[in-house]
Amino acid sequence: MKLYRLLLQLFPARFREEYEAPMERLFSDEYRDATGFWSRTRLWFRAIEDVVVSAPQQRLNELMLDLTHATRIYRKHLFTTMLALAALALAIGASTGVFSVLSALLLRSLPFSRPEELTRLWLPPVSALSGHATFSDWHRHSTYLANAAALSPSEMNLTGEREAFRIKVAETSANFSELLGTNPVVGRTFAPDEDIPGHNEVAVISYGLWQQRFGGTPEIAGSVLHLNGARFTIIGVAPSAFDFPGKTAIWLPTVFDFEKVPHRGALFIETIGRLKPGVTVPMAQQMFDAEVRRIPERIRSLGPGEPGAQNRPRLESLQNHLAGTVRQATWVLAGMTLLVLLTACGNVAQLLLSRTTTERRQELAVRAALGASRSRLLQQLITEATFLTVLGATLGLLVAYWTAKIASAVAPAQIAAQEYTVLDWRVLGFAAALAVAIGIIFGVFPALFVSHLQPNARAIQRRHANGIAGTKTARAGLVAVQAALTLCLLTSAFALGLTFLRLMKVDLGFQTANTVTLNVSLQGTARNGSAEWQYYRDALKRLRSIPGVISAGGTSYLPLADNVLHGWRHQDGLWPDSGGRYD
Amino acid sequence: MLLALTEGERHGYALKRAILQRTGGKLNLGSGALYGSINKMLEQGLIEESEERPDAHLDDERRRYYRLTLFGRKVVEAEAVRLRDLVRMAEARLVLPELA
Repeated sequence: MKLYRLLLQLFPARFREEYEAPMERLFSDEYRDATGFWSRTRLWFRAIEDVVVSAPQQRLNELMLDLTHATRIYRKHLFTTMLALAALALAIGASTGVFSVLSALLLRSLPFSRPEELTRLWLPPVSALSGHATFSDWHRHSTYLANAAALSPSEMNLTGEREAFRIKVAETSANFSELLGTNPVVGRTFAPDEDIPGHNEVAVISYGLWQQRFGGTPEIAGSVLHLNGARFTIIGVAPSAFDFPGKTAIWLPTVFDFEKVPHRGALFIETIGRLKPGVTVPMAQQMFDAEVRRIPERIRSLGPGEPGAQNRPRLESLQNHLAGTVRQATWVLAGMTLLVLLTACGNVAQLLLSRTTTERRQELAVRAALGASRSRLLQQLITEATFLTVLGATLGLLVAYWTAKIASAVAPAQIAAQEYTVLDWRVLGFAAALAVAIGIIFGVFPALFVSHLQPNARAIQRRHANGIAGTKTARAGLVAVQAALTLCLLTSAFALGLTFLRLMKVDLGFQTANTVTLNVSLQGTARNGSAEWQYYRDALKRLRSIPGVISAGGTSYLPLADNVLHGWRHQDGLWPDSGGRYD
Repeated sequence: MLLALTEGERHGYALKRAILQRTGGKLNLGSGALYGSINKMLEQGLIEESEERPDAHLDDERRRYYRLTLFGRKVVEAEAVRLRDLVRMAEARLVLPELA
């Protein structure tokens, strides 16, 4: 019978209060009438089945009753309810929006195969500059890398039948897609020998480019495009979620063939690697550092210096690299948003507490007098509070969506590289969990003060009392906490705003007011040599003649742009062999 | 359930056994389903709890006795008439197999 009584706990409180005793009696009668082991076993199975089916139905019935009652109460105090909802929507929405950015940056895995194995090698001992054969031999013999690929992102002029436009291109080694584990949606990726000069006039385009420039035609393979005047044949289309690195639209297997596509300016070559099974990132970092230290002293003295320091040779996980500079800022933002959330929660908690212990005291006393148990009243209060917070969270999802959109719009290239769905199951789960947790706390908190409510005539007759003993202290406590958190937030916001204003006033050494910039490239056009300079001279002359233009000029790199040159300085003829050895 | 109560007051177990007997063992209600239905019928005013108890030596205070209300009796009669008319309509149009 104890076991059956335990089963009955699955029913809601109100139902149990009414029918627990007769249900126990009924079961005991059936048990008495069932003779034999198998009859009693069948009886137990039927009892468990009955509870499993009926208990949720009863819980749902009671939930609907509680929700109806809650709606009635909130409608009675519509203005206060709206204020509470607005506070919750903003707080939960902002928290969820920030969490979605956090999730995209730090928690969600990259859209590659086994992304935890992917690394970025900063200034490796052997890079694509050493040539195809040397680079391939180096990573094939590596103790910590199963595979490595080189890539060089840049911008090029895409020309063809339609108007020319500037586009992001990544020159890679042939094993780039294989290393990342991505498969094309149309056609194929590069064959192993297609990054060798003479075989590399092929290209893979992005899904977006395929749709916009080529109309999404299934017969895309075999189409021709020109980049900086060089001709390439399209062999495949990348998946829609793939645009690594940094919104790339075209991939070419030309990273070892510097002459293939006419370039201007410095080449920026990156190396990514996939770790061998069983090798962790810390282990790989140690092996990488040891490898760099084996570079002869005479070469290291030409290079950037010791591994481990900033802008020094190092190995890091690709996810950490993509999160990069915004990681710290994201955690700070998350912390500030949490403070906002706690302040809003304190506000709503105080509202519910004061309503429960003053305006609703009479109602609760009457219900207790009519036989409602403490657990029943607690259930009612928690349901009301959770209803409010779930409604607030639902409205908050709109705020979360807008917050995440703003974050995406100002996202640095590292996190804008992948097309993530900002509100995914993690984020929605976070919002739901937050709503339920806050609802339960809001419901339990005032219920703690209601728990010793005595159903006496005095409590029933008294309306709008000053409150139950202890609630004044609780409310004062809540006000103090809210004041402290708000002060914290205001101080931080003020300091941040002041810092930003100071930054804006820093003298950069040049004027930016009323200045516009324009990115022009003649790569791949018919204008070469002196014709190119003549074009720029004519263009500047025409710009200066526009009314309102005071002066016009040209430069290779804008001041304070994100262009930093790194690399090993090599003496002429002194390149490493396939084992990274210098002789 | 309402039909079983037309014969007089019953407690939960007696009601369950009456339904089991009337349906030839086909409908064996669990206590959760039984008292869930009783709860619903109480709210709808079809049945009411009886305050009459058997003698103390036969009684168990955990048992609750129920009886039909006037409204409940009217409802069960109306439902029986409706089902009777439905069966007559079916017999007029279909060739129904004989009951075993």
